[in-house]
Amino acid sequence: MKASALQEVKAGLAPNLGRLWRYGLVLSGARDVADDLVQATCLRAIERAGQFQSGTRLDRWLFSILRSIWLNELRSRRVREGGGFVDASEALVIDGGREIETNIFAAQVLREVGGLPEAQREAVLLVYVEGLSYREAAEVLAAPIGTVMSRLAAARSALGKLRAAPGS
Amino acid sequence: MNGDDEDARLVAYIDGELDENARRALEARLSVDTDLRARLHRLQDGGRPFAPAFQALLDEAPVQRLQASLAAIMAAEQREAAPRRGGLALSASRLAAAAAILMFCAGFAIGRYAPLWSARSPEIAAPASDKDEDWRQAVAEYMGLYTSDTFATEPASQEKELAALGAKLGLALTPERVALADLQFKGAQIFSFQGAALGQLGYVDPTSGPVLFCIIRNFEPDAAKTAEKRGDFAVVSWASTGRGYMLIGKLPPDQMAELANSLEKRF
Repeated sequence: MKASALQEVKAGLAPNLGRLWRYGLVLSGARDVADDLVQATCLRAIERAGQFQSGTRLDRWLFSILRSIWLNELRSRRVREGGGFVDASEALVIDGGREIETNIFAAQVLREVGGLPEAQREAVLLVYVEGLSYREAAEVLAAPIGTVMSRLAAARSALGKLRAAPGS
Repeated sequence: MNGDDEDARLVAYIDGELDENARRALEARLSVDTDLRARLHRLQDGGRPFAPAFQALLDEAPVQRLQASLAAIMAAEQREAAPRRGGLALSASRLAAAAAILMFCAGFAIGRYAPLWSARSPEIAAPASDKDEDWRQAVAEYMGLYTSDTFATEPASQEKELAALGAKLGLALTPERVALADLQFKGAQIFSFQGAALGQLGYVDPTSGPVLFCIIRNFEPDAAKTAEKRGDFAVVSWASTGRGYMLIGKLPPDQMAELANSLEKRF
């Protein structure tokens, strides 16, 4: 393993923990699973640091790892154990009422996004929240750009209907 | 072009992802096609201030806990790195096992959700359910990974290391206060167990190998010294002033008791 890649990966993990956790929460809809996803991602990233290409974006690489662990290991186990899926519209809520006044609008947006299917929530997070280009998002998702576009279109279409018929 | 493709193209237009030619072509159609304009408006209505809304979730990320967890993984990797310098390849499974054991000390997976590595590390038994008892069992389990080589490198500054650990534990730790006769002090590490700071002072005995003196600030009730065997290890533990103390190693029981007596007088 190249020592420089390992050092780069190790140094880059800490600043990305919060964003990785948020991605894990958007995928799984469960905070405890998000915790586990971040831990497993850190471990896997260190094990595979030799595969990281110096000079590329580490956060994108970490997103790919987290996603792969979710899809290949945790999601199926959650289903197998009967945990099923948390209704993400319930999971993507802000804890506590402490800042309810300032967060009320944010909470509404999170509830709406939480009501979308997993693939659409993920596309919204990567492109509209994390600011990835379509191409970058497609790389994280290991899918064609057209898939990113159609997921975003489906998400916007669903959210657009909510605005047209509020409360429904 | 079907409706879904059309929507995808319109979203790419909204997001500024169309190239110049495609954008011009679409704008030309929008200027004459009212249905297409209605579709565009509906998709525009599907926009939200996503980034600021999701900032609220970022603010809620348990960053401190995740950082402690990362520190445990890094510590495990460091332990693996030492033999690697001798030409051995990094063993992912060994790293995972070491990290899993450190996790037990850090207490992240306990009582909530089986750790990710448990399926691959059946040798790591879950600790007993009694909370005050758990941390001693956890230490006894991961102690199995230690060798004299674990402490092969000298720490940069023992004073600094001890001061940092002391701050976590609410104790003034100095090299003199933690020195043990005939044992070489090799350094201090900070762990966390179920939210309580867990300090580990490492020593090497020339004949029996590593000895650990652990202090946890867990506010457990005072308890007199008790000696026991855990696996191959001799253990002496006690509690006072809201802290649990534990000495573990492979020295004969009478020597362990002597060392524990000497430590108890200082804490």
